[in-house]
Amino acid sequence: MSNAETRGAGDTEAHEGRVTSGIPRLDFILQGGLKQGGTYALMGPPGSGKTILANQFCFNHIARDDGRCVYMTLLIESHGKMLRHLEQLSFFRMESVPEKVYYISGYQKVRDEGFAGLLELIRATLRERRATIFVIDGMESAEQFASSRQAYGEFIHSLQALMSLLGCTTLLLSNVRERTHVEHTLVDGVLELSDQLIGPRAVRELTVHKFRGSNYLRGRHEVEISSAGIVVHPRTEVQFAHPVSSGQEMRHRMAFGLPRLDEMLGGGLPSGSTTALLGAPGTGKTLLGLSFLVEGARRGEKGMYFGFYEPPPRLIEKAEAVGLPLGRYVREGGITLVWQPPLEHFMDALAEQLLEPLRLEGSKGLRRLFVDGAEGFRAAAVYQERMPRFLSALTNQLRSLDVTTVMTDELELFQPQLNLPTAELANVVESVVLLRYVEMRSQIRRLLSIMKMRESRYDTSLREFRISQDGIDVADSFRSAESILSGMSRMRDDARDPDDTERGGASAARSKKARAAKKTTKKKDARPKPTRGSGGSRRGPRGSRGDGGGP
Amino acid sequence: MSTVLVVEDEFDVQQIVADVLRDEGHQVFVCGTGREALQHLSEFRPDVVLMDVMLPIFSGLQVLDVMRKTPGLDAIPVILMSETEPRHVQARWQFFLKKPFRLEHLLDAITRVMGPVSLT
Repeated sequence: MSNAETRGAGDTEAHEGRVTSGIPRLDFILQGGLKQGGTYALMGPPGSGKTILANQFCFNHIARDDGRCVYMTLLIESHGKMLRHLEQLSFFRMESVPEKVYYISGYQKVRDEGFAGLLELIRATLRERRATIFVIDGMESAEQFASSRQAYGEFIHSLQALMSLLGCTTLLLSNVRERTHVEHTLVDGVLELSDQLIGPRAVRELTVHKFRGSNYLRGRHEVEISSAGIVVHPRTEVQFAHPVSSGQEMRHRMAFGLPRLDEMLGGGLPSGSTTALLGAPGTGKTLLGLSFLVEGARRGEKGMYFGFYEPPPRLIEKAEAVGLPLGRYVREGGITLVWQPPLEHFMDALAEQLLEPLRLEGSKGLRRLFVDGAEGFRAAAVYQERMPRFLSALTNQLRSLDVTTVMTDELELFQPQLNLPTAELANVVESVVLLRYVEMRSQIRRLLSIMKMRESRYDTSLREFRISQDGIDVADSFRSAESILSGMSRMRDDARDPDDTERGGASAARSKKARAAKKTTKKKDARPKPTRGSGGSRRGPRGSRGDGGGP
Repeated sequence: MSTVLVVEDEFDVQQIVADVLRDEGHQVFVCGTGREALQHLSEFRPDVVLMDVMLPIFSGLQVLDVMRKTPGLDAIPVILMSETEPRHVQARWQFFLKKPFRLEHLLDAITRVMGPVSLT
């Protein structure tokens, strides 16, 4: 296992005898970059980004290694048009053309003189230009002049020998070809860029099919083309396929700043753990998560909010409305707000945005993370079947960084059963905190309970969770008779309405009267009516006492 | 009728430029590399050279350098073509065409360097 496997894509190092592409995370996939003097096929349909990737490789190479590049085209768009398009991209430097990046065409030579003439042209040009990177864009045009597959194979073989001799790293660009194409059997590596529609989404991906003499990250990796050029996002679960066996977590207790809740949690959440905060819309998940961050900042522990739905100003406003001084800690740098508007995202790109600042901050950096919510990752997933492995890799990585994470997941508004929208979350989190609505005397109230806390003692009682302008608070035990977790409840005969204390017992008489009137009511009336989306088995514990079982 | 040597490696550009110049009444010779250009120039002296900068083997600037140092070739007007204007050597060519250029720019460059062509 290499160090790179445990550190992640942001920490790519140059390896001896390698030429780094400088393309974000591609070198990580290739475990250090392309081999110096190696010849690599880069295939993909028109529009998949081959030309951009090859040019980006060239311009990054001259900027990082002070190399020289020759870019040969064979019957593709003219150099003038190509450069006009490339000018829009930030890696492109027109002042490096033609001194450092030199564009030529080889089409006429191969047409008039065949492969022998083309090879002579390449040899003489590369020596004259002292090139360290060579690109041929449009290999399918060259192949058309081959008298046979064998003749084309011989050309590739000769080209490869020449490049090895010159120590010139070479990329051969062509449209999609079958995996067994003669070119692919001869070259040192085969990379494929694809561009396909998956449902309504257009998805670009990169796959390394072959890479001689080195390990590499197999499978498809998401690719984005932006004004910066090509950006590759290695699959998170492959990137962190070998998590460190012993994490850095110190197992300190990380409090929410709500005395009763912290007491229930035995002082707080264990550091380095991940907690799922479940609840229907409006139950207070975001406020509870923000309370976790604010309490951390108050203690000098840096935190990050990573959310999808509420822009920072609105979030600050929302927190301040219940007395959480979020704005102050954001201004002081104790809390960072990262907002991802709910548009089309890539799951691995989101994970990178989350993990890379944490890794850069190091051990003295961010200690608390609030992800609001897990459905943002789910919505970004092109392949839903990846979710369990993705979440497992993500939480493992957070654990190894000793970052204590609270991640919300939204339950349906009317849902008697506890069905997790992101079912995979249950397996990867250490703790589960549930927020639910409960009906009490024609009033909607909120209920908080700890459903699961791995390797830790916790209070299983049910508590009322209150949100007011005075702040958020977890009240005393909420005693109910039955079906409390189905969202339907009634007071036990020996219980007092918590509000009675506040109202000086004013409602006690009314309560007694109401209970007397209900004595004739049958139990079945208390059963919840079937609601939309209530399929599946009943998972939640029943009865008036939480038993600590997970959802 | 003037003779024009077109030195251009991009096949489509080479053919289009040559056709336009022939339409204008010029005699046109074409080649695709810097090495071939020097070979042509050692055999005949065109009235004007229309030359790309980025050429296989020897660049257009290297060919221009040889021309300016060779008696007999040093006075031949050169129109350079490139995606980016070369620096520090402006005085050594007569006209610069930025690629991709339009037909009127090409004709304007030819007219400026060689004067209008009489078709009679």
